[in-house]
Amino acid sequence: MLVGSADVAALAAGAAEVAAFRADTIELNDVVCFQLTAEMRNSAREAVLPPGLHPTIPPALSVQVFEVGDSAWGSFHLATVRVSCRSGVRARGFTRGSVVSTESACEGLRSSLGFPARTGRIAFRHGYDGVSIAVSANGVDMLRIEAIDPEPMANDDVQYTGTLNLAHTPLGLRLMQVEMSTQATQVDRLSARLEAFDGASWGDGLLVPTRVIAASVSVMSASFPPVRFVCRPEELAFTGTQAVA
Amino acid sequence: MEHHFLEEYSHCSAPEVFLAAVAAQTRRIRVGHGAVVCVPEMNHPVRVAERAAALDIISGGRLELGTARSSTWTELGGFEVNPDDTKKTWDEFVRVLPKMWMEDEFEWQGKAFSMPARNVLPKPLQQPHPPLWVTVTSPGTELDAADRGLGCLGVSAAGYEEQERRTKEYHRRVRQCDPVGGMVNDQVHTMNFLYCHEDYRRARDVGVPMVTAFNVANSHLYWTREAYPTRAYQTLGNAGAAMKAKKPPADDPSVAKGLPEGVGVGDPDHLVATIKRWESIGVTGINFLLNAMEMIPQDEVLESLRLFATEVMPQFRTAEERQRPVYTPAAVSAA
Repeated sequence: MLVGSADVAALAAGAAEVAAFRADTIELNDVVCFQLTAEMRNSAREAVLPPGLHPTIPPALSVQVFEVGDSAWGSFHLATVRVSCRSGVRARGFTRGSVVSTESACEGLRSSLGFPARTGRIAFRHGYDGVSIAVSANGVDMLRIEAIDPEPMANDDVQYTGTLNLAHTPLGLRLMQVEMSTQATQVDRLSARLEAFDGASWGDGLLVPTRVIAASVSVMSASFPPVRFVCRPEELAFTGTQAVA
Repeated sequence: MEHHFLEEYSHCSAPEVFLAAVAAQTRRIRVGHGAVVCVPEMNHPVRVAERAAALDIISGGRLELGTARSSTWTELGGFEVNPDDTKKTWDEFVRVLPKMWMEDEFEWQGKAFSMPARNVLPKPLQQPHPPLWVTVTSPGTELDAADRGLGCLGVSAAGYEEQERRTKEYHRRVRQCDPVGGMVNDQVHTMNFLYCHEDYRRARDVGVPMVTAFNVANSHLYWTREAYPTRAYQTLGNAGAAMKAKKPPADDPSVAKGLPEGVGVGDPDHLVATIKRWESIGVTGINFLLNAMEMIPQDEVLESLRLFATEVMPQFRTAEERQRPVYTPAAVSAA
């Protein structure tokens, strides 16, 4: 059975500190969410995941970039790179790196949801003809995407899988299961080109997208309900899942 | 079942070759070609018709032919198939296959393929042609099967309640179908697991981990819906179905034994009761997975099969049926 082989201590190098699990729902309004999926090579398959998670066949990653117009942290941009995986039999994305455009949102996403976030610059353009994205931090060109030819889709045609963030929690170092509820009002599928992607700056030089599968952009509102479960990163979900009281 | 690129199970990319060997070494059992993937990037429809007819002849008219469109990016992506198109190409395949078998001169101008007039040979032994099926993963595909007069080959986990709802609607719709072939196949088969042991505790301890292992290995596949936004795939494949499976009610006898509802794991009495329950909601057959990830030693798999054959199967066959040399689906009738 395929399971992750990454060193958990190394994965925890940039892990967030979550002092307490929030009991309230975090609302994000006036959101534009771009998502791109891409395949990776088998050499990265197990090595980029902790032993508690299973990789997909073929290995894949997803890039999510949010433009948030209104939230408790004000307006901000969030870019995140997740490795597609399975926790037990459930489809998830394990976050390897996140960049946030403002200090307050960065701190909020770290302390509330365990995103391994740092601040950086995110340029996000969503027009009638497509989407352009550029993400950089510390002078590194981390990500550039050009996506064109929008095709209208139904509002529920995009699948957003739950996110797993490795964070220091009151229960110890755990994978926090972050679910996102969305209500989309417009969804387009796009033809996307990855013009730049620096895996090392997203947490691992093995993160090399070899083939873009698809991209989409959704206009939506989104919310993060309270985290209900966490998992031990070195143990499979069947035995390593804990309910959050 | 035709599958490609699945690294941990179902290494069956050339099922027609494997089934030719099965046909050559058996005399009575039907030869179930679980499903040919009906997208032109993987299989040209003429080759599907030719191979199936040859297999029907070699097996002495025992072929059951399943059709499918694949639900994983693992497979569709490997052949660079556009997921938007698979339902349409599947529909075209199931409409032309019977024509290729029944007509001496076949020509076609379609979306998936076109060809000038030719006599597609050989013709199958069964008349008018082998029973056709479609695998059902996505909810609603059973209605596509019913409308076309195709048998319903369930491959995703569903509890009794959900299966009963789907089966009832299938049987209602298939009575009014416009068959794509020369006959109507109005059977509903489901997928299940089998591990039979006289001691239900032993059956549970061996069988349940096998079921879990299969579900975990199956969940590693990269589902099309997860990878690619499209109208054509509305669920996360089998994983999605497994997630929605209900727990058995507290008064279900399987609960006391720690056995999962509706699964073919248990002692002979439990399996008889389980299969009768499936039968009562309109399921006409069950396709059992006997092992997964080689978790059960082969001699134990064979022992389980022998016990099933001696203690369970007789409960579902009349004396007259047991005398038949080859099982012929009773539900297959000339259209």
